[in-house]
Amino acid sequence: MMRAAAAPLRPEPDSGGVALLVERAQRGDRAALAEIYAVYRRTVRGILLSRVPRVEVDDLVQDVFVTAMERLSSLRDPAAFPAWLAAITRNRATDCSARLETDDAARRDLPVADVDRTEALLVLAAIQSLPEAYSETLTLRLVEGMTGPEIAARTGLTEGSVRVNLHRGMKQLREKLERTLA
Amino acid sequence: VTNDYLWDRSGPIDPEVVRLERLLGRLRPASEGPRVLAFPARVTARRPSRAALVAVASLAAVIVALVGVSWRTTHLSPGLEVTRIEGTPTIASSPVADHRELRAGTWLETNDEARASIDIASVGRVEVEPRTRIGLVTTRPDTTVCSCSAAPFTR
Repeated sequence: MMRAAAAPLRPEPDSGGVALLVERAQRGDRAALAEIYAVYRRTVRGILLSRVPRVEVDDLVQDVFVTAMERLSSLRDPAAFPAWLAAITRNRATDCSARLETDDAARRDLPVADVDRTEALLVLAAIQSLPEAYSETLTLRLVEGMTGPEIAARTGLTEGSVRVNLHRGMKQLREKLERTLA
Repeated sequence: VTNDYLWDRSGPIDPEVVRLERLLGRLRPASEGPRVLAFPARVTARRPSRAALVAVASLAAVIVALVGVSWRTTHLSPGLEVTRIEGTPTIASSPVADHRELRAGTWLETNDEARASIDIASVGRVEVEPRTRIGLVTTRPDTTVCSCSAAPFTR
């Protein structure tokens, strides 16, 4: 059996590299801003996708980066940028979920293609129903194609936490899918 | 190498994980997706291919233009000045007669025949070609953020 192909990720700067990149961005270096976007875009998308409807994700990715760029000067420890950005992303997802609970119009506007019950969307829904820590790491691993070490580096979580979340989440996902098939 | 496929794709393949990777990988955007761009002097929409239209429709993909604009004026406009060049461009689905303001949260759209221009402070004038959709996300003292995509092609 062939291994699943995953699109190559933009190389992750080491912790020192992240700090330098963020410091450049804090000084207004637009090339650094673009590099940050290129490196962390998939992480932001994956975190959002684990929490909100897929149709909302593209707009929220923009919102997250706009918010991050606006607040970047307030980040005191540039090396903490991955965890800081992940926290902003989770907050935006929470805001969006709260809005959708009271905004039926947003659901009515879903394109037909997005409400079709494809197998992929069913599995994604199963992942989204898991505890957030599990759904986030599984989405980054299975949808965005990141490895455990990459998830840890890009979210600021420890490798140990990511590994536990992946394995416990996968166990719960298998059980959910088996129940669905049964 | 940890001999743990779920963790880092090392070791024996887990067929269920591989199946889910392939299945869910289809939910990733077909292209690299939105990119941060310096706002171009001229925004031109190519006639999109059918595949591109499908991608636009199904993924609602947008190209993000992020521009840092130094506002040297002391007064700030709440929106951007749009001028009709030809045809009937629309803002929030209402026709633009000659001039109109594009406010944050609204979209400027051009059909097959319409063209318009947008004046952005020190950046200058951006010409918007047919079949283009540009939304003003926000304007702030030092930043203007727009979203841009090819509008669905209509015959």
